[in-house]
Amino acid sequence: MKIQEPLTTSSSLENTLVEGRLDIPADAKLSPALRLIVEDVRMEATAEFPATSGYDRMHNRHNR
Amino acid sequence: MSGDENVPIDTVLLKTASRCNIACSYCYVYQLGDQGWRHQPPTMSKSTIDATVRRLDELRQAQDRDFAVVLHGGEPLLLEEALLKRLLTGLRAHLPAGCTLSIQTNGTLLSDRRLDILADSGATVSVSLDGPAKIHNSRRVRFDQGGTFEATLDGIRRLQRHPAAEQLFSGTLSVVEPSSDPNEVYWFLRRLGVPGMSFLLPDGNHSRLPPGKNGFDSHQAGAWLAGLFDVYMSDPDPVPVRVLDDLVKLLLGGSAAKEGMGQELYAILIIDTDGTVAKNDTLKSAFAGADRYNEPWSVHSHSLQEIARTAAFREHVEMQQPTARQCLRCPELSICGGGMPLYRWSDERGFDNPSVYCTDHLYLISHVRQYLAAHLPG
Repeated sequence: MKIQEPLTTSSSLENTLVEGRLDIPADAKLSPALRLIVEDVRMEATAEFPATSGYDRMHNRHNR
Repeated sequence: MSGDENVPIDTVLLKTASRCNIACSYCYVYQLGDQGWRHQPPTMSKSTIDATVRRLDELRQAQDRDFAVVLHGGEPLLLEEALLKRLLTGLRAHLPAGCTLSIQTNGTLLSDRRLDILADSGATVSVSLDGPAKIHNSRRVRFDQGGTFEATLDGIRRLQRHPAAEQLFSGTLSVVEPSSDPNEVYWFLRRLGVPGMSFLLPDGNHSRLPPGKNGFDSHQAGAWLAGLFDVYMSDPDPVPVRVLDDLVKLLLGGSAAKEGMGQELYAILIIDTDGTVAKNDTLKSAFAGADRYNEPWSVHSHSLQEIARTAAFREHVEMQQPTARQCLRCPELSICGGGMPLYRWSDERGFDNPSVYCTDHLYLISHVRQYLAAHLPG
């Protein structure tokens, strides 16, 4: 597989996510795993998500 | 000790046992040259437990944030039940609920009594399980080289039967075996009913290549994780796969949750069985004693917040930032963060190298980027 160059940070998707809007339509055809991750990012960006420690979240906390 | 700037502690790893009841071939504690464990008491004593609880209570009062407490080893459940109960009861009594308690275990010593003790303190349990028997038993063996798969599985089943299983069982932690089939490993763990999974890369560095890696430019582990990602994304009813979740979150502009990915710094304290305060013990895989501070810090004689204010501690935390020129000019640095420091070591240049897994990181990141570009609207 060829290693793809990084996307530019001007990607509208990345900007949308970074700004915490995450206006991904509810009917967008995302895989269940990806939808859950996007939701996590959205909650983190909008401070709905409790800040927890890294090791803890890695090993012990599941947020879904 | 000197310095004014306090580094808030994120995680405290308690080495409740310096010995293990099994002998995994890849273990950084016992198999990669460091023999520091031989000089430690086999398990924490009552006085070290009491001093640790007192120091952690002081630390939480002194810093404006919670931290995670992780029981670790060796095999942490070698700590006798009465002392395990004393430790967890003490911690739970003195620390707020935001300071989570957890244990990373090989699962072979999970009895109903120990699970009760863990459940009573609100602790969670992560079990080390590398996959189906043929993969797990090829590396996670007893001292007579017999496999530990059945014993680990017995422990997981006991955990799953416990009345507090939903609270107790956090998931599995697996070390990647690049020659295995990620599809087989993923679906084995899913069918076992684990509530979450995470994966670690085998330890190694530029002078002692990790098992399964042919050279700096090879990407077997990266390809394995890319395969795992594809299976994960195709699962109609997935459970969290932490390492992949973190990667996707970073690519979407979010944050990761563990040292070794992204550029957030994590301040981790290790407390050995004799109460000595040490650096991240995975550094042992670089050279013997790499996890030791020069100062004789101990919970018996020093407060943890004092230690966190020292230049030596800050230097250790900042070591997570890579220094190699190749990393500093890499457009993916914000994603991989340079990887775990232990992977950067070479006998010639110390830690001033890219990760030995650099090519693997780039392969995986590229793979996930391509997936996101194809599947997300935008």
